[in-house]
Order: sequence, then structure tokens, then C-alpha cells
Amino acid sequence: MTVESFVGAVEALLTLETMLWLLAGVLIGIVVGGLPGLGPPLGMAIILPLTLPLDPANAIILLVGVYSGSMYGGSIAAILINTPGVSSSAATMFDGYPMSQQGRAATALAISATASALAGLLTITVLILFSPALIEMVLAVGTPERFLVAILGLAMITVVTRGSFAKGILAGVAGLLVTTVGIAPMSLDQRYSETMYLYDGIDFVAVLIGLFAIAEMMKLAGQEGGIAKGEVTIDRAGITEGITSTINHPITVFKSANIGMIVGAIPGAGATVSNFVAYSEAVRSSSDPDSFGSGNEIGVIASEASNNGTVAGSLVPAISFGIPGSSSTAVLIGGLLMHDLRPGPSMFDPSGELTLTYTMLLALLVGNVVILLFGLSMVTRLGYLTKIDTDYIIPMVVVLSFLGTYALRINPIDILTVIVFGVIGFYMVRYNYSVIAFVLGVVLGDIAEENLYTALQLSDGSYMIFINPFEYGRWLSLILSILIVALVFGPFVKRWWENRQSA
Amino acid sequence: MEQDDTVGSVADRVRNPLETVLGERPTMEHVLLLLFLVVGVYMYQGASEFAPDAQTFPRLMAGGTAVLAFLLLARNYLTVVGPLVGAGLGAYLVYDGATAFLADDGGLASLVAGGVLLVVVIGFRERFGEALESFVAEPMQVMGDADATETPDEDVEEPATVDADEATAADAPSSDAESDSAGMYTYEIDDPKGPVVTGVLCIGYMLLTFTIGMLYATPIFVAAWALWARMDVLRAVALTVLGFASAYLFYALIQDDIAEGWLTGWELPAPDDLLGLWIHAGDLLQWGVVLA
Repeated sequence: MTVESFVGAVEALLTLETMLWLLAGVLIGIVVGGLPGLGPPLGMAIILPLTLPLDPANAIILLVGVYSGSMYGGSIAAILINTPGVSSSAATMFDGYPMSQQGRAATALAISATASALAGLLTITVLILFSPALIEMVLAVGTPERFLVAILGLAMITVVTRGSFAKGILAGVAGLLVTTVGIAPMSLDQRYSETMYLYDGIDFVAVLIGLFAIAEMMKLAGQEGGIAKGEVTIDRAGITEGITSTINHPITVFKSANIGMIVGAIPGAGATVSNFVAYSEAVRSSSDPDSFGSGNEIGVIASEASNNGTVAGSLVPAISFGIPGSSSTAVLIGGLLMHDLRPGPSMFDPSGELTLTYTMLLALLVGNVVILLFGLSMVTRLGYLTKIDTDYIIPMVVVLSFLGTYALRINPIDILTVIVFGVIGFYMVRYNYSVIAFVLGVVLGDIAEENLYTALQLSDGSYMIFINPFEYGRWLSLILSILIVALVFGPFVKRWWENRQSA
Repeated sequence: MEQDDTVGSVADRVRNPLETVLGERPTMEHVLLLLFLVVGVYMYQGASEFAPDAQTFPRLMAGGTAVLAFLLLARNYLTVVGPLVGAGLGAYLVYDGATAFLADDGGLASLVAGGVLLVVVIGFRERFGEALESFVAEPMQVMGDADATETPDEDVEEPATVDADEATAADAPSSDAESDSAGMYTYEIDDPKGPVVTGVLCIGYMLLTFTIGMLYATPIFVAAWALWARMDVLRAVALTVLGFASAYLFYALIQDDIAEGWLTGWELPAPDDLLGLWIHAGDLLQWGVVLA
């Protein structure tokens, strides 16, 4: 059945319409990633409402195309103007920009395209090969465990994200609270619906657009720079050198891609972390660590291979349990939900959406080939992206955000939601509250509540179902509960123990 | 730490937080936390009106939001406030659990949790306050820079008096402390007016949308933005036309209801309707000449 689903996915992908949506997604992604200040979650959030008329497969392919493309696109601004188009390309600046200053911009851009594409191809292939094992694992998880996995994801994000632990939890809990407005899952009660416009709850697409698009535009409006000050010379001759250099460092590509994949699978860590981890590892394992930061090609390879490797990794918790590994996968989950696709077992069920899951993975595979071809053929033209003034970008992003949100349901509350959550998102980021945890809460709310409700029904309302395997026979629930407690209280116990030892 | 319960030390312990409160400078973070607190309390109260099955989840989340927002608001005084909050919460849980237990044998978990919390708060109030302080204020990091776990939280407000000129700079999170972080996304604001103007223009865009519909509100918003950004006329016009074209594409291809004002019910003629009026241009001109 799995093989049949895979063959079905290949057939679905190889249609002209699907390939065009994939191509469009990757190209939009490269442009969005290349424009300083924008990034994958913002690009995907704006595209999200526009996917409504599409069938679910094409909609998801368009979104993953934008995701994958923008991961590569982010390196363009990092290399050419020392400003990462996306935060996941920050480490690319360290060596990419010095290469550009040395007149080797084309080489750096070619390395970026090749390393991104190779890492993407490698990690997606690994994911496809391991998917049967993943399917077994996901299908073995029951309702109480799915609720606990959601809480575990939330706990992980609050721990991984730097800052106050309480702030992280507050962000996640507040996100979950947002989803309690409207009809209660299972019991179908109306909650907090003071006006008829809230009967369907607060639209998560509007929340995502507010948090990612409006908040980002408010931030961008307060920043200067990000635009190329002068002409950047991009000589076509360096392209072959860039490709050769990447191919000559297969271990760096392999290692960084896998770091990206593993870190990407940790909720909240995302490409920004994997980017630095892979770069640090490249420096650590180098025989000439001092050359990093002054135009070492390996630095660019490591950074770019890792951030594209993250895409595959972050998809694992996203489609398995509905837990986004990053902001981008949160929007992707939003896309799945918008098209009535529930992340979880149904995405791996051969009689469910397994064909769509494989189509999505194969689309990413082909998307990486598009990145390679486009990236290499357009190297000399990519500098244009860095010259677009943010004064032109901001009003157009706001316009597209408003239009996309309002056109979805013609509900005035949605416009208000975009603005309110835009402002909240702006200040949350400013004061170091995890927006990812908040988004996770918003995306996970219904799933978590539904699973909590069903689990409590199984136990006649007793919370002991999560911790008492002797009565309910759910050992995995106990393990997950212990993991959550360890994750939440571990750092405090560790510090207390260290203080005790030093005293 | 041993506790000194003399009158003087008690007075000190009351005076110090009071001085901190009076010296604390309100920031937008306080507003954000107050918003979470008010919404949390309101939704917690509101949840009691729902059917039992539908109220568990919102009560848990609303309660969590309110308590965490309060703890963060009171983070500079947690050694004093923390035990009081813990005792209050414990008493509430005991009462809630006992009521449920007497009614239908439920609420045992709540009763036990409340009891344990009360015992901890009463028995170890100093340590409880310190633990809460650490939970709320100190940064944790599993991944990324190890130094981050050692540095104090830069968001804890200094109880110093800050003059107006310093306020904006102090309001911004410390970039030095944050720039080394790989696990988060931070930024600096060069022009504080930018976000404010963008927010105000967005609100204006919303109000216009509710009045005259989004089709015509869009070019007005873009033109207003271009005016604020002091774009040259040609580019401003081009951007406004692009904005209008985007709105028109949405109107024509995706959803024509965007042209109607929700509050007023007004729907201004669409461009194609306006173009249709050109047919009557000759008549209009004729009437104009007659009237003249």
C-alpha cells in the first residue's frame, strides 16, 4: 500500500499544473527570501489565503516550494550586502560577504545554490527512505499520547528558545487560549462568541498573517539599511568554481545537511540554530579555523547546506504530530488545516493522505533541482533583489495581507485580528517572548483540546490516564509525561544541584 | 538564607518593593502583560458559563495565561508577592477540589495539588519566592551559547529613574546581550516612528475598508504610505496603481464582496462600471454645455 501511495504521488507530481505550481512556489520563495526583511514564514503566510481556490495537493506544493526556495533565497542578501534575507542565513554572512568583497560573489552564490540543493536532495531522500518506519511510529501513537506530544512540543520550544522560561510558556498558553474562541471541538458549545462574527472562532490564518506579516512590516518600518549601497560585481566565471568547491567538500555537505535535519526536527530550534551549529562544527573540524570569517568557502557550504537540510527535519514533527519545527512549518500546518488536512496519523494512512504526503516530499525533491538550475543560471541577476527599497515592500505586503485575509471569509473580525496580532507579535518579539510558541499554541489548540477531551473520555475524566500505566496500560504516556517534567524542571534541578555542589 | 523577622526587617521588606514599584518605568511590555492578564481573567471567568466538557481546556489555558502574566508583571517583587500568589492559588485549588469532591467524588487531583502547594508555600516561603524568581526571570538555554545561561535576564527593569531622552533607548532590549544568541530572532529599531505610523496607517486602512470597501481603501492606504515615506511622485503613483491593481485582481478573480463597506453597506462603482460610464461622456458634456 505504501508503494502504491508512492507511485500515486509520482503520478500526481508529474502533471503540468502541479509542476507549474511547484516552479512558481520555488521562484516566489527565492524572491521573498532574497528581499531583506522578508522570509519564509512571511512569504508563506501571504500566499496562504491565495491557495484557497487550489486543490489541497497543489496548495501544499506551492507552500513547500516557497519554504524551500526562500531558504536558498535568504543567502543572496547575506552574500551580497551582508544582511541575511532570512535569519537562517545569518552564518552565511560570515564568509559569504567577505567572498563578495573579494570579487568572488558569483562563487559564493554558486556554492549557496549547489550546497542548498544537494543538502535538500539528500535530506528529503533520507526522509522518504525512512518514511515507512515513521509511518509505523505515528500510527502506534494513541490519543492521550498525541495530547502529551503536543505539550512536549510546547515545552521543548520554551526551553530551546532563549529567554525567560515563564515567557515561553506564557506565549504558548496564550496561543492555545486563542483557539478556545468559537465552537468547542467535540462538544460543539459556543465559547466567547459575543458577536456572530466570532462563531467560527478567531481565524488562525489571520493570526499567522498578523504575527508574521504585519509585525514584520512594523519592524521593517523602524529599521534603516538593508538595501545595496553600490554596484555589486557578479562575474559569471566564478560559477564553475563554486560548483566544484561544493562537490569537493562532500563531508561538509553531508554533515551540515544532517545537522540541519536533526536540529530542524526539534520544535522551536529551526534553521537559525542549525545554521550556527553547522557553521561552528565546520570551524571546529577544520585544519585552518582562522580562515573562517574572511571568505572561507567551507563556511558558506556548511551554513547553506544546513538551512536547507532543516526543511526535511522540520517536516517530521509537523506532519506526524502537527508540531511545527519552525515558524514556516507552523504556516504549513495552517495550510494543511485550511484545506481540511489534519497532521497526524491520517497523513500516513495509505487509505488517507499518504499519497499527498509523498507528493509533498517529492515536490521538495524536485524543488531542490529547480533551486540548483535557477540559482546557477540567474547568479548574475540576483543582485537586483538587494536593491528593492523596503519603502516599496512594506505597503504591498500590508495590502496583500489585508486582501488575502479579508477575501477568505469577508469577516470584519479577521481584519481586526490581523492588526491586533500584528501589534502583539511586534511587541512579543521586541520583548523576547517566543512567537513560535505562540503560533504553536494557535496551530495546536484544536488538536490538543480534541485529544485531551477524547483521552479524558477514555478515562472517565481522570487525568491519571497520562501517568498511571498499571490501570490504563499506556506506558508511552508515562514516558512522555516524565519527559515533559524533565524538560520543564530539568534546568532548575541542574542549577540547584550545581549550586549545592559549588557550596 | 535565614529569615530575620524583626519589625525593622519586615518594614524593610515592605519598603524595598514599594521603592521598586514607584521607581519602575512602564514600558510596552507592561501593557502587553496587562493585556494577557485581563484577557486571561476575563476568559477564565467566562469559561464557567460553558458546559463542563467545554470549560476544562479554556479554564486551564486562561488560568495559566493570567497567572504567568501576573508573575511576569510582578517579577521584581516575587520574593514577597510569589508566596502570596502561591498561597492564594493553593487555597483556591483546595476549595475548588473540596467542593467537587463533596459534590460528586471528583476534584481529588485539584485537592491534592492545592494542599501540596499550600504546604510548600507555608513551609518554604523564602525558597518558594526565590524559585519563582528564577523561573520567571532567568534565561534558560539548552542549545546555543552556553554563556547565556549565566547572564541575568536583561528584561528585568532597573528600578532607576530614567529621563525622557533615555527612555527610548532603555526601552529597547539590549542588543549586546542578545546578538550572540542563535536560538532567537532579535532586532533593533532605528526609527521608533516607523512602526507607530505603520500601525496607525493599518488602522486607517481597516476603517476605510469598513466604510468604502477594500477595493478603494487599498490605493488610499498605499498613497498615504507613499506620502509618509516621501517617495517621489512618479514612484508613489506607480506604487498606488500597483496596489489598486492588486485589489482589483482580488475583486475580479477571488472575492467581489471586498468592494463593500461592512459598516455602511456602501459599494462604490468598480473600475469596469466606471469605464462603462464613458459611453455617456458625450451626453454628460452636452448637459454641461446646456447648464452652462
